[in-house]
Amino acid sequence: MQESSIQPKTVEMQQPEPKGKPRGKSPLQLALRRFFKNKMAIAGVIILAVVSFISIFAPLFISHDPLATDLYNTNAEPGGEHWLGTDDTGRDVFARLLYGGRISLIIGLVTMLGTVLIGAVLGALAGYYGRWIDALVMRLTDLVLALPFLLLILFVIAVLAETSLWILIITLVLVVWPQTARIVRAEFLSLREQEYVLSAQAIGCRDSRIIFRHMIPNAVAPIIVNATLLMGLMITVESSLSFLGFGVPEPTPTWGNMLNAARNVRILSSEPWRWIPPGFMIVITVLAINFIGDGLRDAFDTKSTRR
Amino acid sequence: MMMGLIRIRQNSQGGRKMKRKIFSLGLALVLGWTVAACNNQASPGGDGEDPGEPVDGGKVTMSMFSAPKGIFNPVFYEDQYDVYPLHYTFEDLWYYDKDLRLTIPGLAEKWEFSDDNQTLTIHLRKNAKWHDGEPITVDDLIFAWETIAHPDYTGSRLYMVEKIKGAEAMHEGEADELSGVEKVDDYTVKVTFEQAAANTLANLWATPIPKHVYEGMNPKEMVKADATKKKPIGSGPFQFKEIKPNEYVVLERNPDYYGENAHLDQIVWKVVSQDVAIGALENGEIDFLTQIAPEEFESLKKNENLTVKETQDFAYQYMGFNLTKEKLQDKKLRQAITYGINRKAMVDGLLKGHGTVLNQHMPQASWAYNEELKDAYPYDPEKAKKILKEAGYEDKDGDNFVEDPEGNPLTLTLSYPTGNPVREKSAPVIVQDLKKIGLNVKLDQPAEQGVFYEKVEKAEYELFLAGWSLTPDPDPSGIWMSTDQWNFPRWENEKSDELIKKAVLSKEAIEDQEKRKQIYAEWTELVSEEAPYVFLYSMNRIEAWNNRVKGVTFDWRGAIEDHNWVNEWWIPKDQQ
Repeated sequence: MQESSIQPKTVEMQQPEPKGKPRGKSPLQLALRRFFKNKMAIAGVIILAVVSFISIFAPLFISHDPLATDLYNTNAEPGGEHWLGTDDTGRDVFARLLYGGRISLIIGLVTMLGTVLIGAVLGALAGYYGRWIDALVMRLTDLVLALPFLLLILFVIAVLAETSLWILIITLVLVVWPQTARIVRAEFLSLREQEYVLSAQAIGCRDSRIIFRHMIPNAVAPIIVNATLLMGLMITVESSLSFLGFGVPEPTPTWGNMLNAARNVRILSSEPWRWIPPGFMIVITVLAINFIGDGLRDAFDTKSTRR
Repeated sequence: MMMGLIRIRQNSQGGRKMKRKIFSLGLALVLGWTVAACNNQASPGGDGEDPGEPVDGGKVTMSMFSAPKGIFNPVFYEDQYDVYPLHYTFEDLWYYDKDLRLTIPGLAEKWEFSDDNQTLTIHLRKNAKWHDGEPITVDDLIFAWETIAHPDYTGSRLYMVEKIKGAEAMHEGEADELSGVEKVDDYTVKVTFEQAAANTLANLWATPIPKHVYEGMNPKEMVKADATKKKPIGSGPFQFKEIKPNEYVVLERNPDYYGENAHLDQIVWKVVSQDVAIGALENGEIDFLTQIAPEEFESLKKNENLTVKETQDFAYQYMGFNLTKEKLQDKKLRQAITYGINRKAMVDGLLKGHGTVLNQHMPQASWAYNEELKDAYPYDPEKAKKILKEAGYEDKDGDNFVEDPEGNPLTLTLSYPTGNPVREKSAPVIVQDLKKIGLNVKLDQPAEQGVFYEKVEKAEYELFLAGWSLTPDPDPSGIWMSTDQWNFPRWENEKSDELIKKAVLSKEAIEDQEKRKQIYAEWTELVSEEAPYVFLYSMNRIEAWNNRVKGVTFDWRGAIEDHNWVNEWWIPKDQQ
């Protein structure tokens, strides 16, 4: 990362120069160029875009209410009226699949943003100031990381005795932020010793300016990679929690809830339309996000030979 | 086992907590009347083919969905799987017949009441022996009663002796024996009760336990004794051969049984998880399966090697209103909600037709069932809306949900426990149904059973889903009297209390079954009008067994919960 981390200073110095003059590409542009050459990553972007689009604009594709039950048409096979059949209270599986995507994506996205926000700020403070702040933040991350991940979430949800989408998101953020914090801190520890940081300190820049203007942009690559992979992870965690019955409560459709409802030998063998679609959606969404994450990592890592 | 009649099924009730509750319900005295019970025909093992003459030998394998607690004593057991082997190893004094009357003699040869119905004389048969060869005498019966009445007894069966004179004094530690029990000779005993009641016999503990084995122990020691955990000495047609905790229980034929000996050599109970039980039944690893989900019915029916039967269960599910909440105190609102829930669709869609819509506390299989209420509260959303409108519930702010008569937004919360898949599915359906009549109902997170019932008892919820398992006796005290602990809706009604007492204690009710039925009819109509519950449905009990087992009887209790039939089971030589 050292090569690229010198660059922002150069960029800053180049800014006053007149436009139109031929110049070298910025590291971000270089990274983007490398990213767009990665076919898997592009496939990931397209898949994620499609999934997001049909989830957000679900009402355009399906007229059924995902919550509307129809007890006289339960466990229906896929057909004209219900494209993917109905579940055991007669709710349309296709509608639940599309609307369920919203929940999964919201959880993935919001948790990721929350985690990055908390993790990056605390990690940056710890890495920049060191000493007791560092010790405090790091012991806190040790504490959270020492607890079994899934168990901790189950514990929090059990204590609160109820869950909603937002409680679940907050819980996830509180459990996951140490990972990001550690990555950012490690990055800051090395950046702190760089000449441009020292010179900025020497000319009397405020700490906040040094952190946010100079250091964060240099640490952004690992943060982005980490955040992307985290988003995929969060979608699987939501599904696992719903599957265990601790996720977003019924009747809200989520992919995990749909899988949970199909947890039965008879349904697994005779009603595949109940569990294959949500399972497939989870797999392709998480896969797409991971492709993007991998692509970003390769693109930002200038030492990588995988081009 | 008399206690066996009080069935607790994991999927409908779950949890030990629930069981405690059910045990406090009374059983019925049911003499001299007939019952219109459904599906009571006995069925021979095969499908119409002549199975031939019974032969001895062979073993039958049964399944338990979870490991039994291992307390194999009829006085102390708490777990539903402990009781299964007990059915076949401990005899009762008397048994219910297929018409729900206590007429079939077991260890008691005959019994009669005094003219004032307050004293019961029981004559034991003289040829019955414990599995270790000791004779069974009234001392064993009195020992069982005194164990239950003992101050150190903490089990749930106190109500089955507390009507005996002196039971209260003994339970409080003021007396060492039951003053109402008089031993006439080794095989005759006279019991005097505090007061005459219509359900005395049904409510009296009727399973002797071996005094010579437990002598000198207090109830706390008895629970832990080897005779309870490792080598129980019983009185039934089968005796314990081997108990392997968490794995299996093996019973073998008792060769010295007083009646006709059983045909089978062995009955094995093994722990099979519910997920794989259907498969185990289909490939012959287990011979019997109970608690079958309605969705499985059709596919099992197609299997030629299996017999599948169903009967209406003595149990029902309901949605309760917490009447301590002010917003639920309006009777009209409760009636509207009852009209607004499509219960027929629940039976057709969730139970696949294997159940019945219920409008009263009495299930259809009971003799006390009130035919008049059969079609009370049909599904009628228009009528529900009309009732709401008349009572002042109108949607004035145009959000499609009604406000209460004062114009404040009305939101109700529906809570329900986990553990019963059909009930869990019914919750969002109810919310949708009520939305159609303009009621805004929020669904609570499903709670774990223990937590749920604790909160229900503390009256913390607004609307809640729950269920009851009932005994053949229709006496609803225990859950319907104003001061009852398990009167979950906190419904207080003097008229109701009066009727419940009258149906058990009044002379006319004791003497004439038809009179008792009339009192219950009046009571069920009162409940229906006041609507503290929405009675939802009564699910059928579905059981299946392998056709290689012949001579199986299936009636309102199912196939495996009465020992009298187990003697008749047999397996053809070539299939043993």
